[in-house]
Amino acid sequence: MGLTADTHIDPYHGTGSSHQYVNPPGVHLMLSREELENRYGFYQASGGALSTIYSVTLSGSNHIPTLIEQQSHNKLATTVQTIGSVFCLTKDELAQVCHVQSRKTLYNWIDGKANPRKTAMYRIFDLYTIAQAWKQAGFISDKVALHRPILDQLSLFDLLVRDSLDKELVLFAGSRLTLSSPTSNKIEDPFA
Amino acid sequence: MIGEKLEKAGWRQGSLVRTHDIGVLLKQSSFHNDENPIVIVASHSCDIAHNSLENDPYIELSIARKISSSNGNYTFNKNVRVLHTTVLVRTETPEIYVELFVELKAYDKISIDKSLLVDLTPDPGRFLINKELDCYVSWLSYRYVRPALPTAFNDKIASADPKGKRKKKAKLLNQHLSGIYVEISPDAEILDDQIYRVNLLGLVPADFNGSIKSIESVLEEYAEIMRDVDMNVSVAVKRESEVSLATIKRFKRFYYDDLSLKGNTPLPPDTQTGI
Repeated sequence: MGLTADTHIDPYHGTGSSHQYVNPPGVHLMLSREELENRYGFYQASGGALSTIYSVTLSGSNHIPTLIEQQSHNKLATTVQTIGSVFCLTKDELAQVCHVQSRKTLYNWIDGKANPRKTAMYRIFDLYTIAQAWKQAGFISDKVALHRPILDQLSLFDLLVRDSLDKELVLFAGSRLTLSSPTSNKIEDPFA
Repeated sequence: MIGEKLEKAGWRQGSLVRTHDIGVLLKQSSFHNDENPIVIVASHSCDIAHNSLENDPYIELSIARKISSSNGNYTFNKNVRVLHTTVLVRTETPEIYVELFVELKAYDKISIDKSLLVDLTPDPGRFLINKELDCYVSWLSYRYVRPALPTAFNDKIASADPKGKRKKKAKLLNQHLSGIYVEISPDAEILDDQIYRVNLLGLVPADFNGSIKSIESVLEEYAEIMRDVDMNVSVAVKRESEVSLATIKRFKRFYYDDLSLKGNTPLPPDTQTGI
């Protein structure tokens, strides 16, 4: 986990996992979760791949806002989180897509408390390669698109939870979703 | 039906040959003493699946070598003779996968009888996929089909940097560009009193999330070389998803290392012979 501190940042917006700060951080320390919990009180946002924790440390009359980001150094966690963020999956949906029983299993993987079985690892690998292809193709991803019927009444989510992943079909659905979405910005000629 | 068997076994363009099968396939070739080569199927998937040995008796294979890391000047087909790409290796550990960096040279290819693959299956744990596979396939074709720019245009650029020092500096900054493209006017040989106007377009991958401004400054290094020979140059950097097909059709891919020059002095080789 990391501690990032800057004296010129915006107040924390308690809206979940999004946060903003004005200036690049001036301090960056790596702390274990226990050290972080012992030294600072924190609020942990739920949902999303990134947990944002905010606390205020007091020094006399000066309030120093402190913004803390949880960095994942577990490759399995990063891989699973990539899948979740590319397809805008909640943790429950991510568990379903990875074919695990519950969010708890996912958290155990992310926290390094447990390792997946071989079949689960293979499935995560396949999902990861699909997620990478999705990103590289510049396909859209949002919650609405995830559950919209797009191919024979099946949504993208339906395709991702299937026992046998069909990568080409998922990417085909991505292409269809992107093409069928309204073009919000005209692509300008960069030399016009 | 041999083609059907190979297709059912999973052989496709971009398939990797299992490590323990490589020796058999390379036995009669000049690569048989290579240490730990990576062998990739270059033939088109339809040619692999073609059943007639009379029409299509061979499979082409690329011979690649492991490298410790990729050089950005050789990724995304930036060099027509050398390609650096990444093979994903699926692990059976919680790491899920590791990346294997490999180097391919355009002339390191062999043809084998199709029958040699019949009893084999592709490597189930190593993959050239997604954009890396697309780049490999495009790179193969660039050996034979490349856009041509006017000789006068190429000669002017070469004259601005005869020892290649500025090109070398620009290439050091090249890591994130997936391609450099030029639109020139006129797209023809010019007289001494004419100049070239150039739209210089740099593309980065659709999922690039770095600083576009810093990439623009890279492209400016190339632009300055052109401006020094009186070219009127305008620069833009865009993600691949931000450029319309209508725009890109006006451009030609620019391979700085492969300018066709009128001069008699050949360019120094940018790769060493591997054989």
